[in-house]
Amino acid sequence: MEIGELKEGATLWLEDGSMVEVLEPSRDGKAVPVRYIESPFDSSLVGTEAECTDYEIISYADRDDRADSTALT
Amino acid sequence: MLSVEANERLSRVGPGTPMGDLMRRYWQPIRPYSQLLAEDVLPVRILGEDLVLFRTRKGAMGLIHNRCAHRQTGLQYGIPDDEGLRCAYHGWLMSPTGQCLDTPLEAADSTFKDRIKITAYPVQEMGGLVWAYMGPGDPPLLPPWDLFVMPNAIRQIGITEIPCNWLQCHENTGDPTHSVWLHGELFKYVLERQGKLEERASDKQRHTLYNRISAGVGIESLYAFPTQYGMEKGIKYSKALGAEKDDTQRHATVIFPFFTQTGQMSSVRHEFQIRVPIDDTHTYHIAYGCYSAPPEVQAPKQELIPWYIVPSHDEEGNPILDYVLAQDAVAWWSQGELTDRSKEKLGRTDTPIILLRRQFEQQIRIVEDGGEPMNVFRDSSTMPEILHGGRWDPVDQVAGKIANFRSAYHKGYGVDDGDRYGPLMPEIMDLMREVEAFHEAKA
Repeated sequence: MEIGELKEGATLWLEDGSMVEVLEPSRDGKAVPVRYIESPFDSSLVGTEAECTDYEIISYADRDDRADSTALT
Repeated sequence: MLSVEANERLSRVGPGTPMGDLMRRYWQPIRPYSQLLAEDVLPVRILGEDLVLFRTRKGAMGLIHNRCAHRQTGLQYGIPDDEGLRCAYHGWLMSPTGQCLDTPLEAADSTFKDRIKITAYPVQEMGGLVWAYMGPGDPPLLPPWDLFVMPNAIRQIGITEIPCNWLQCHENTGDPTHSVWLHGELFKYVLERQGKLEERASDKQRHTLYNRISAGVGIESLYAFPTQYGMEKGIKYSKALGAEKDDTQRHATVIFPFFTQTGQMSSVRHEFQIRVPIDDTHTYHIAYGCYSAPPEVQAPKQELIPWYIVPSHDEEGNPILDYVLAQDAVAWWSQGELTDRSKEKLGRTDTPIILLRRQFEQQIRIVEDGGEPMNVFRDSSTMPEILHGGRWDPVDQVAGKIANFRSAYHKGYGVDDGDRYGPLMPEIMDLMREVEAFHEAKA
C-alpha cells in the first residue's frame, strides 16, 4: 500500500486496531490526514483527527471488518 | 502495537479480568477423558484457578477447588468414593457439586458438613475431551464443532504445556505467512544442521518445507473478514509478482474463541489446535487430531480416544525444531511469558491479527455490557451445523489424493508433524494407505 495512493474516504486499520477514514489525499507522500471512526482500545480517539504515516497503517478495511492489505474486493 | 492497558485486557484471564470474564462464557476443554479414566484424579489449573478433576467410583465426573475445606490440603491426592472425592488427610468427602457429604472424624450427629461447600464447576465429555464451564449462570450448550463429532474417523489427542500466554499461541492463527520462514527456511536449516535434509526432504515437490518456502513468492495481499463463528483469512497471490498464477489461498478456519482448524475437508488428516489458558503465562495446547475417510473406506472403530504428550524439548532440554508444531511453539514462548505488545511493530502480514484482536475486544465489551458473546448457544436449533467436515465432498476428492505431506504419512512424512508421537500412527498410516488406494482405483 502506497500512502500517496490513498484516496479521500478510504477506510483503514491502524496497528493499534483503530479504524480511520482518509480525509484527503496525502500532500507529501509521507503522511495522510485521517479521522478516527473507531478505536476499540481507546474510545477517546473516536472523532479526532490525526496525521498517519505508513508506519502505522496495516490495511484497508471496510466498516464490516473486511480487510485487505492491498485493496478491498 | 497495543497500549500496555489494551495488552492487559486481551491477555490476562484470571477471575474478574475482562478476558477472563469472556473466556468463562465458553466450555473449556481441560483434559483428555482417557487420561481421567486412567488416573481417576487429576490436578487441573485453568484460567488461573487451581482445581481437581476426578471420577467417582460410580463413574460421575467432578471438578472442584483443589483445596479441602477443612485444612486446605490438596485434593489432587484424594481418594475417589462412590459419591465424590475424599481428602487424603481426614477423609472429608466432597461431591461433584462441591458439597461436603461426610466429615468422618467429627461427631456422628454433627450437621457441620451440611454447611460446607467449595467451588465446583459442571463438566461433561465430548469427543474424548472433558469440558468444564467456569462461568456465571446456567451453562450454555456445548457446541459440537465438527472434528469432535465427524463420522467415520479415528482420533488422538496431543497435549503440550507451553510456557507463555495463550494469546501468543492463538495469534499464530492470524498469521498465515509465518510458515514461509518458520516451517520453510527454519525447517530446512534445522535439517541441514542435523545432516538429514536429503533423508527427510529429498522430494522437493512434496516435502512441506519447500511448499512453505514457495508460498512466500508472489504475495499481493493478506485478507481477513469475520464469519458467523469466527474469522476467515488468507493470502492473495499475483502472477505479476512471481506467483505461478493469480490465486487466493484460504487458510485455517478460526472458531471463536480459541479453535483453529487445519486440513483440507477432503484430506484424511484434520486438526483442531486449541489454546486453553492455564493462567496468564501458561497455555494448555491441544492438538486434536481427527483422521477421516470417505464413505467408501471404513475407518477403524475406536472405543476410547487416546492421548499423548507432544514434547517441545528433547531429553537434554533443548527445543525440538524438526516438526511443525514444535517450530510454532518456539516462536510463541520465545516472545516471553507475556509479550509486551506496546513494543511490537506490525506490518501488512498482520492484517488478520488486527481482526483477531478487534474481535476479542468487541466480545469483551459485549460481556461487560451484560450480553452474550458469539458462539454461546442456548437453543439447540441455533447450534452450528458441522462446518465443513463430516460429509465427504465429491468435488474435492481428487484433492484428498496425496494433496500434501499431511495425506502422506504412510510415505514417511508423518515425522514432520507432532502426530509422530501419537499412539495411533500405525492406524493413521494404514488409513491414508487405504484412502490412497481407493482414489487410485477410482482413477
